[in-house]
Amino acid sequence: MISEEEIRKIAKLSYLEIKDEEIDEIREKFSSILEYVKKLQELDISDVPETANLSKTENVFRGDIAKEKEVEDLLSALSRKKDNYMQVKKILYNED
Amino acid sequence: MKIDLTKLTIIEASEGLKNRDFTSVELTKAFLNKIKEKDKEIKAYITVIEEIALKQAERADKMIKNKEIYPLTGIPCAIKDNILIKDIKCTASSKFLENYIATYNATVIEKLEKMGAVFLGKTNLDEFAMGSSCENSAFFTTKNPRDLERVPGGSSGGSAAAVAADMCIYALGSDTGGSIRQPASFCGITGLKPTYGTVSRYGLIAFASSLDQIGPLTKNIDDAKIVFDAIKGSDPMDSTSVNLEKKNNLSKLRIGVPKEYFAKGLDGEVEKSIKEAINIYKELGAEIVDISLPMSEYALACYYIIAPAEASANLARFDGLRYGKTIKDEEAEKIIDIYLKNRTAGFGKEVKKRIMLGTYTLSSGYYDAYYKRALKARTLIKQDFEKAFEKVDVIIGPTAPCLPFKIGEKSDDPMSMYLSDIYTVSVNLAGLPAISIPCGKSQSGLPIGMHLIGAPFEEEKLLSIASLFEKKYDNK
Repeated sequence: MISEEEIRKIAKLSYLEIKDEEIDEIREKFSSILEYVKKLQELDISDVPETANLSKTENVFRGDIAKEKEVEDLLSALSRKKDNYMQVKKILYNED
Repeated sequence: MKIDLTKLTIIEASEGLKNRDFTSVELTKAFLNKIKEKDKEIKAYITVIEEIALKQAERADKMIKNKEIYPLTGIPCAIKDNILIKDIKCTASSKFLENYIATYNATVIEKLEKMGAVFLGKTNLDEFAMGSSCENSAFFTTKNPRDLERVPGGSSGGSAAAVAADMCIYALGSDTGGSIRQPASFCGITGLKPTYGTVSRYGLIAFASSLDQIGPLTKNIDDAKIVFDAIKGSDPMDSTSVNLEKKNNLSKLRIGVPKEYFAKGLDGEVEKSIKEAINIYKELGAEIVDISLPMSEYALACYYIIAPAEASANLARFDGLRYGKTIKDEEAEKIIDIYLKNRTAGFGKEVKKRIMLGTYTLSSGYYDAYYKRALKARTLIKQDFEKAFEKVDVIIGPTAPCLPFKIGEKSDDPMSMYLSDIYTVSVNLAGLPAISIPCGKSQSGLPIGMHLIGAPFEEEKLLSIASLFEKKYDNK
């Protein structure tokens, strides 16, 4: 089963907090899925190319022309703003 | 005799509108009344937009008067609540977006609006489309109109239930691993997942971008074709969208039956019903070809690496700054506190689990063993189908291995829930078109869905083959 330490590390990378009482359940459910997907280890895939997407992978270009957008609508969704900017909390700090 | 307007198909309703048997306003009111009467129990809708729907109906009536008539003009529909309609709340059934108002129209909405469509409201789903039963909605569970103790399927369960309960004529859903087809099967209606790239995803709240596709849920196949034709087409706002539809060149019908789709884990009644459907095709003169898709047993494992990996990246945008707000400013000192607190409070359990799963399989040290390996397995799954389509026109099987299950029955066991998508996920991994249509009922009266899979961009052929069965089945 996946360790508590690993779960805490993944949670941190995912920007999620986990309460102590949730740890066991998460470890258990996480492990059952990991156990299932291990099935892919059976496959011999050394020479197989990867398929990451099915699109034509061509660039779509447009002219570099500024367009008016409804800024008000977009700003209305922000939790904090000042003038026409999104306002955020401190982004530079020392890690605890 | 006065007809019940809510029972009509798109084609019937459109005829009625054209002949002035009734107006779009009358038609829309009939559905709004039906929603008032039935949705307290079924709970298919998160938001009903009565005033807007009536305004759209008035506009449609004017269009009809001016002889500007498209197949969907004045036809009331429902939209899954992960597809944006400008100025309307769009929640994706998540606490995170509980009060989010869409600032633009999805391309599919834009297309429907131009034709004079009427939007009745937004339907329930599993949070961010992650689930197979609608039980992962942050708000409530939708009930299956065919049996109120059972789930409608998911994630487009609200859309499927709304169609099945005559609370709209058709609905739009999205399908990442079976989310249109499995609920269509559970609710006894028709659901089409188009080829990846045929319908623009612009304005669809992304779950797994290489798998997501918007499609119709309808009362029959002709209706599915009408809606598909209305929403398809390449779009400058979605670089993966293309115009590549192939004409139907069907001469001698060959139907592939993969032995892997009838292996253990398949419900006996479902199996019997699909085998009867295969016999109907045989009677119709089709050649039934035994085929093998040996990678089938790896599809679900592959999907549960790729879909969460893409989801973990897509859902990183939900930071509590640009969307949603659940915590007070005083509770946060640094920006990371805002991320952590909002994401922890905003996402439900299943979504968190999938974000973490995706983060894990993409993280340093595990990437090769999980994600990279899954991308290679995906190639093999795609090749399986390519080989099969050299020999057959369509592939037939069950949509789901089980009958619609009871609410709560599988919610504690993620693997057993995931297994209900075992036949549908491979289609998304390979980007193919597929349809679920009703093909029978269990002894207890529960709907059974048949799954037909086509080659890429061969929707026209797929739908015509599905129609052959539908005509025969309706007449029985």
